[in-house]
Amino acid sequence: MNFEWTAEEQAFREAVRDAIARYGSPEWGPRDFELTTPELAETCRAFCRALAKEGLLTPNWPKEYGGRDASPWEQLILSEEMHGAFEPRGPQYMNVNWIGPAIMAYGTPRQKELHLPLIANGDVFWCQGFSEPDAGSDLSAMRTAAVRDGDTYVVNGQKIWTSYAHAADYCFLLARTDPTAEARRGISALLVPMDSAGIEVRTIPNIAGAHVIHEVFFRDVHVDASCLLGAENDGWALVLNSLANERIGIARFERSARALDAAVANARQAGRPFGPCEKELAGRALAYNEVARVLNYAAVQERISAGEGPRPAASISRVATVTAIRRTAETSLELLGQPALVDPEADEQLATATTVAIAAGSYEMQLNNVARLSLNLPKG
Amino acid sequence: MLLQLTADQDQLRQSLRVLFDRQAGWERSRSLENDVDRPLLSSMQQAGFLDVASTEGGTLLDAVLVVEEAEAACARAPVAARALVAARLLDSAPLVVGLVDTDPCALTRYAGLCDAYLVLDSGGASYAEAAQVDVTPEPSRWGYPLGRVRVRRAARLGSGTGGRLLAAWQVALAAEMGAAMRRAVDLTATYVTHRTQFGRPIGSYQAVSHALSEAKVATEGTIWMARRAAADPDDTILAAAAATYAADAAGLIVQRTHQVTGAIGITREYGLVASTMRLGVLRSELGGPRRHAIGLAELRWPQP
Repeated sequence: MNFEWTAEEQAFREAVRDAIARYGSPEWGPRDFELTTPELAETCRAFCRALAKEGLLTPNWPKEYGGRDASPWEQLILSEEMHGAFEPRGPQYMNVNWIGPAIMAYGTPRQKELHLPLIANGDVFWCQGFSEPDAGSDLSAMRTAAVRDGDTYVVNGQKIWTSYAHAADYCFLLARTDPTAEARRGISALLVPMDSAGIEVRTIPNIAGAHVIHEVFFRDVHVDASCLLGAENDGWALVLNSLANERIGIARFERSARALDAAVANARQAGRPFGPCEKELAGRALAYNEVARVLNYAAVQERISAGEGPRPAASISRVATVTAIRRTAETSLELLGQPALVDPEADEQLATATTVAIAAGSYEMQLNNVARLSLNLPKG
Repeated sequence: MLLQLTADQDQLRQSLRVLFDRQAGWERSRSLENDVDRPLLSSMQQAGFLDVASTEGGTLLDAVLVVEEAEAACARAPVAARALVAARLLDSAPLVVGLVDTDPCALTRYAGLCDAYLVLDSGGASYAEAAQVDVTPEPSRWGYPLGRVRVRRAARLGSGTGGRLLAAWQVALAAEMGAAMRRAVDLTATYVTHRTQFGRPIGSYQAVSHALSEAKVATEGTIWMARRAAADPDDTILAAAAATYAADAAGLIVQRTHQVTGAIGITREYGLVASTMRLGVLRSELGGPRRHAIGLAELRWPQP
C-alpha cells in the first residue's frame, strides 16, 4: 500500500496546472462550466481543443483512440485540477470519463470512427438523456420509446433534469425499445444528434444556475439505426457501468477543499472572528474533505482492481463527498455570515450543497448500494 | 499510488489473525477486566509484530495494520501505544507503554499497568518509567482499565518530539477507532440480517439499512484516513484530520449500532459493547473531537 504519487504522476499534475494557466480563461468563474452564454461555450471548446493538442484531454484513453493509456490515477489528477479550477472543460469531462469509454466498449467501428476523434479533439459537447418525469432514482421505469421503423428508430418521449442540453451536439439517450419486456430489459442506448428534427430543449428555471437543467422533448424524432450503441434491449449493463464511472469522475472534494480555504481567507480579510468556535467548525470541515478525498482514492483503486465487478467504494466515496460539501457550505456561511450569500465561491458551494445529493444517483440510492454491496444487507 | 495490501502486508495480517484467534477475543478480554494482557504482548513481541515499524522495510502503515487487527480481536493491551507511537519516538521500548496527556481532565488507559509512559505536555514529549509516576486508578466499565497519572519525574525527549508524539498518538487513535468501528458495524450488519420483525429481516427496512450504511461510510473513512496519515507521518495536518474525523465518526457508530441492535446490544454477553464502550474512551482522548478540530485548523490556517 502506497499513498505517494509517482514522479510521473507529479509531473502530469504540473503539466495540467501549466495548461490551465496557459489556455484557461482568467475570467472563468465558479459557475461558468454551465456554459450560460455562447461565448462561454466557445471558450470551453477552445480550451478543450488546446488540451487535446497537449495530450491532456483524454490521456487515460487507449493510444488507438488518441490517448496514451494513462492510469486511472492520472485521470483522477486531471479531475482534481480541473474541478479545482471551476471545471474549464465544462461538460466535456463526461465525454472523457464515460461517454467515450462506453463507445469504445460497445460501439461499432463506424461509431468509433465518428465519435471518438470528435471527443478526443475536444470538438463536441454531449448531454445524457437518462431521467424522466416518472423515472428518476427508479431509472428502469423510463417510458421514452424508440420504435424500429426500417433503418430508423422513431423516438417519442420526454427527458428531464438534463444538464448541458442547450449546448450539446449529441445526446447519450436511453429509450425503451421493447415495451413488453421486464423493466430492466428492453432498454437501449442511442447516440442521438441534438440537431435532429423533433427535439425541443426547454430550460427549467432553478436556484442552481441559469442553464443547468432542462427538459428535452422527443416528438417523432427519426434516429438512424446505426446510432444504436450495443445490442438492442441490452442497455442496462451499459448504464450501470456508465454510472459507476460517473460517480468517481468528478473530484468534487477538491472544489470543496478549495472553497473552504477561500472562506477562511475571505472571513479573515473581512475582519470576521476566527476564534475557537470558528476553528472547530473549519477544522471539522477540513477533516471531512480530506476523508472524502481518500475515499475517492480508494474508489479509484477499486475501479482498477474490481474491473467490471460490483464497486461499493464508488458509492461510499459519493456519500462521503456529499457530507463534506455540505460541511463546507455550512462552515462558509458560519465564517462569512450573510455575505456568503453574495460571495461567488461561497454562493456556489451553498448551491452545490443543495444539489449534490441529487445528481448522478441520489444520496439515498448510494446508501442502498452501500447496504447491498458493502454490508450485504437483505433487500426489502 | 497503490491502495491495496502488498503481499508482505497481506501475510502480516494473516499471521496476526492466526495469533489473535489463539490468544485474543472478547471472552479473553472480559476475563482480564482490570488487567493488561502481557502474555499476548509477549507473543506479539516474539513474533516481531510490536516492532514492525522499525524493522528493515517496515513502515508506520504496517503498524496501523497491526493495530487494526489487535483492536478487531478486542486485545486487552496497549498495542497502538507500543507498536505505533513508541516506534515513532523511541529507539527501543519496554513491553507495555502508556500514553499520558497532562491535561488535568485526562485519564490514561492501562494506568498503573505499564512499564513506562510517553508523556505529552505543553513543553513537548518526555519519557517516564513506571516508578516515576503516581497512579490513581479509576473504576471503569469502558473497555479499558483507566486511571489518573501524575508524573513526578521524566526525561525530555528533545525538541520537536511533542509534535511527533501528538501526531503519532492521533494516528494511533484513528486506527484504533476505525478497527473498533468496523467490528461494531460488521456485528450489527449480521444482526440486522438475521433479526426478523414484522415478517422481514430488519436490515431490509431502509430506516435501518440507511442508518447502518452511513455508519459504514464513517467507518471506511476513518480506516482509510488513518492509513493515509500513517503513510506520511511527518504531515501533522493529516494526523489531526484523521483524529478529528475518527472522534466524530465514533459517536455516530455508537449511536447507530446500538439503536438498530436494540436491548441485546447493551448486554455483556452479546459483544457489541466490547467495541462501543472503548469508542467512548478513544473519542474523548486528547481532548476529543473539538480539540482535535481546533488544533487542525490552527495547523492549516495559522495566524497570519
